[in-house]
Amino acid sequence: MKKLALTLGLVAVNLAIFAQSFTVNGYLRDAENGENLIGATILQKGTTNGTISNTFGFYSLTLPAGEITLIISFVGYQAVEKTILLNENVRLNFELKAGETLDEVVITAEEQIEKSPQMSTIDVPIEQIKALPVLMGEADILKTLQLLPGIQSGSEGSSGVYVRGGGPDQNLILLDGVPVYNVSHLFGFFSVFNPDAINKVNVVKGGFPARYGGRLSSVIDITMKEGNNQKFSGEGSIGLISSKLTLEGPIGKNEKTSFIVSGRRTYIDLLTRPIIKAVSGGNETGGYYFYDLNGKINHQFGDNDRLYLSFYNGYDKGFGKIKYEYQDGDEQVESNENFGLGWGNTIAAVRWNHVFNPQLFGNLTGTFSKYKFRIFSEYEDVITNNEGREVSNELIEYYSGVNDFSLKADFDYLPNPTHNFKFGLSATHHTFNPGIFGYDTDTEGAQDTVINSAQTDALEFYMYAEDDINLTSKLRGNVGVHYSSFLVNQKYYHSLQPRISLRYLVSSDLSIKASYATMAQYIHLLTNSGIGLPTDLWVPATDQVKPQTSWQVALGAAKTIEGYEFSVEGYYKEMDNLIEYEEGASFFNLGTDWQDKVTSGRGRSYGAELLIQKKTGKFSGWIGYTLSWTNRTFQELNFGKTYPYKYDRRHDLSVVGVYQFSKRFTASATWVYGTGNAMTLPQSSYRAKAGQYFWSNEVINYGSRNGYRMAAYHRMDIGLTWTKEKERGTRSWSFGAYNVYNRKNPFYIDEGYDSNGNKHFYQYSLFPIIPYLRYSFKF
Amino acid sequence: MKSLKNTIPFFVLVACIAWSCETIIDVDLPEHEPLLVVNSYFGTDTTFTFDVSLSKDILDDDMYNDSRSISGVDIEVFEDGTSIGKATQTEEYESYKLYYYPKPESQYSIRASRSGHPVIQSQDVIPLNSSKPKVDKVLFTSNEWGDQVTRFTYSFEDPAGTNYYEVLLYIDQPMYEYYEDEDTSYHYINGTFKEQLYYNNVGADLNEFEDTGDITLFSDELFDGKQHSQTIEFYYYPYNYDGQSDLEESQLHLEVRSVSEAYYKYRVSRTLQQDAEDNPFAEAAQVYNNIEGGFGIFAGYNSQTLTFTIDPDE
Repeated sequence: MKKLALTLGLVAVNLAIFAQSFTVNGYLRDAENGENLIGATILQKGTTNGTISNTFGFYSLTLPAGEITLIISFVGYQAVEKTILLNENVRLNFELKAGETLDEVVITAEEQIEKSPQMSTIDVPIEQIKALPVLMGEADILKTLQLLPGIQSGSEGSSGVYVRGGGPDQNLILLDGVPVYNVSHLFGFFSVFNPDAINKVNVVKGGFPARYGGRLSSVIDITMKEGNNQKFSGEGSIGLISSKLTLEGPIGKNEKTSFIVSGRRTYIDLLTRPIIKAVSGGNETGGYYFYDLNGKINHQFGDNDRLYLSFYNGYDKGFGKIKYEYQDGDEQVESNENFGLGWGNTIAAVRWNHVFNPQLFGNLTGTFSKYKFRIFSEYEDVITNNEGREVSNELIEYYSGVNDFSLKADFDYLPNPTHNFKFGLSATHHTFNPGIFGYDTDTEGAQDTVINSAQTDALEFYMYAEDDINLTSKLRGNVGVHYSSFLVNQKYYHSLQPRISLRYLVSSDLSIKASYATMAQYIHLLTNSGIGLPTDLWVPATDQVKPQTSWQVALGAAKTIEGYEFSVEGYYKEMDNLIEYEEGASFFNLGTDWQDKVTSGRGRSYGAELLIQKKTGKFSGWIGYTLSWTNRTFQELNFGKTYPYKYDRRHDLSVVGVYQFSKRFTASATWVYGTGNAMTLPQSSYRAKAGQYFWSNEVINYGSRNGYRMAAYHRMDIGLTWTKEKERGTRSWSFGAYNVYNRKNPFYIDEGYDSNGNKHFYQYSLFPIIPYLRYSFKF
Repeated sequence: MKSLKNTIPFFVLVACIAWSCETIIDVDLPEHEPLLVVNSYFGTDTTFTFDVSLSKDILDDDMYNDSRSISGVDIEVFEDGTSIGKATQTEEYESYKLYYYPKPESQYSIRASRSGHPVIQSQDVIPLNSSKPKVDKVLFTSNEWGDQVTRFTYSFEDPAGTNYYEVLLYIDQPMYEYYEDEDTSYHYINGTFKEQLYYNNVGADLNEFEDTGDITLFSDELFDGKQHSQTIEFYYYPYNYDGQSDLEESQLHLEVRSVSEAYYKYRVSRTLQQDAEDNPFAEAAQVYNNIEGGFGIFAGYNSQTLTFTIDPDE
């Protein structure tokens, strides 16, 4: 409360100083479809006074009275200049037109990298994401993010992200402000985000602004499109494994309401199911598919209010059915067996924007997020004989999940060009179901059984205040504090987390930046595989298992030279109360509560990152390089000795390029190189102490945990896109290849025997060269 | 449960096959230099015995020498830093022995060498014994599943400081001899042998690697310096020679071993490694090793056994 009083005091002082000032505010939107322009720059010409638009496209700039000229610019759009006489508060909405080609754009970037106090933050234009060559032609947001420095992929093809040595659970992945728990389709080969429905992707790896919390390593803030409020339009594509369709448009004729709905489904199962059925003589069938469905509707109530409803549902399902019929003596036996698994997320958000006054913008959000995993096996036997018909059946299933209900309020207060205050609070009710096993049968004498780790309810609360402040003409900072608390099983945890990012402008195009952030995370992901299997369990901090915490410092420099942004950063991060399964434990030890299967420890990561990025022009792309060290120390693992994290990667290099030869023809390529993953590999064996207690007389020596390095990973992907403007819209063909030089990258290593019976280690590779083809249309 | 366990690998495999052709290449690994392996438990009731072998490359499948000690190893044993002699091998492939009874609370170390291999060293102690275990009245009752079990509670005083224990239960079983001639056949009891019993620790907070059913290993973390009591129950179905139930009185032997930390870690981690080998979702588990420069275990224990009689008819 003291801090809030201090903040309000500062506001009062500023109001007095700027008594002769007025505020120009409004929304920045795309002229063609009305989409919000997030992070666009509004600058008073000839001065350093300026601001950027927020997540809803709102801006507010308070300036001394008089004639002023504003320059509004955004990446990929033609800049706009507007001169006004500012003698009262003015509402000015701007609609920017996209550049015909990217190199036509006059002022191209959002806030230039060296000007922003924020470090360790990257925006990737969604069009760039869609232009890059990818596995099976499925544009994938998370896989594109893996190409950025400090963000690493896990194993081959996986969409899991590992940021600055953190685990996959330490990323706060938000879709329209709602956390998404499991972002993987098809065991991690694809992510759940359909790029056609996405407007903006922003990644924060460190120096976290106070408005973010609840995870240790990154924030991936994904904003869905609002829906075209000018005309009905759509886009879609047909690929080798999936098809997508997005429709959007206005509702009514006053441009106040618009909608977007987007769907994607794979169809391998539709192709394989009849084949399996035919091959098995009609006795067997099976398949696998996933789908995503995004929807959003928004309505503007007058000039100051807007309501958004957004929805996402995605599900993976694998299934198999086997049917047997046979005669056993005078009995006719019919047996049906079903097995399968499924997992998915459902999220929904209601958001209400309100402009309280030209300087104060508020947003109230109510969200729901649900993740559920289920695996089952069931059979039914029907025996018919002279005495009648006897039916026996059995169902074994296991499921886990997490449900969240959340309410939060966020405010932007911009009293003058020197300050941009943000403050807010949030409360979330979590329900965790960390593994429930059920057995159900109609067999006489048998009992139905449910074994479960207890359902746990928890309440998470946070509040924050931050100020983006121009301290001097050269020194700018983002200073804030995030306070969070967690109530679970009558145990109360809380954490005060100071955050600070500073930027010093050495010259007009060179700055030095530094940041410090502490973070707390009240949920954990228990994983055996580390590759994003749906069996990974989300569990809360409890009275036995403490919340994860971290602190991180970073120092860097940023410079822009002729459209190329250069940034270099060094970072050091320590993490505490990380959890892992104890050696030998797994989620299938059903008789044991998960809390008794885990052990906690520390993590440390440090390194340096280089990013050279060009966002606009005929040629765009980036080079990202990371040099890093990441390790873990758990008292009960590896006999207490520090060991490398599974995804400790000394060198990680990505080269990404998109070249627009003409309006019709675009080529793209990526090349990645990474030090091989660390793994635990048996090295030798020796005779054990004899005794009657062990069935094997051999001990395997694994050396140190994760002590073996797989071979280095490298791969090149290429893509070509032909686009043709037609009367009814745009048509394009995309061709490309994943792993174009057919590198046999290591996926896992296992023991095996050759045809002569000699034992070897074999390295299994997953993806050879895989071409793709996709047809897309837009109208 | 097995069917569920297999479902995930099945779909992962299907997913991998559906999207690609997996390729297999050999992995080059550095050649393994064999190291000396010494295994020895030593207690106040035994003299020193050392099983000595060589480690082998993980790809070496030759099992021929696995069950025999190697020759030409020089093993010197020290008690509290003073040499007490060298262990010798009386016959090729036999264990190395030193006829010397270790003393409680003494520190023992070994130094072993063999031409062509690095010298190895290790040390451990024989821990202090707990008080002699006591057993309360033995009950013949039903457990929670309705099965007939034999149940009793044992207790002992734990000395202050960190201690580890191993508890084993034996029963005397008759050794039957069979005699047959032209006219008749009969059998008779020719002594007894100790058969180890499986038992259940009632309400104990132990994981599956500490409680394997036939032995229990635990630390005194929850009862340091205090009396420890534990109820155990077991199935007791003695049969006579003809296979008929023969519920007569029997001799039980409750062995409580005070074991060193090395002993505890080695035993638990071995169980864990074996359990993890067949679990595709479990991380590989490393077995504890206290042989510097080589592999194996050199660990002390101190044993006490309480023998008592149970009689269902009482």
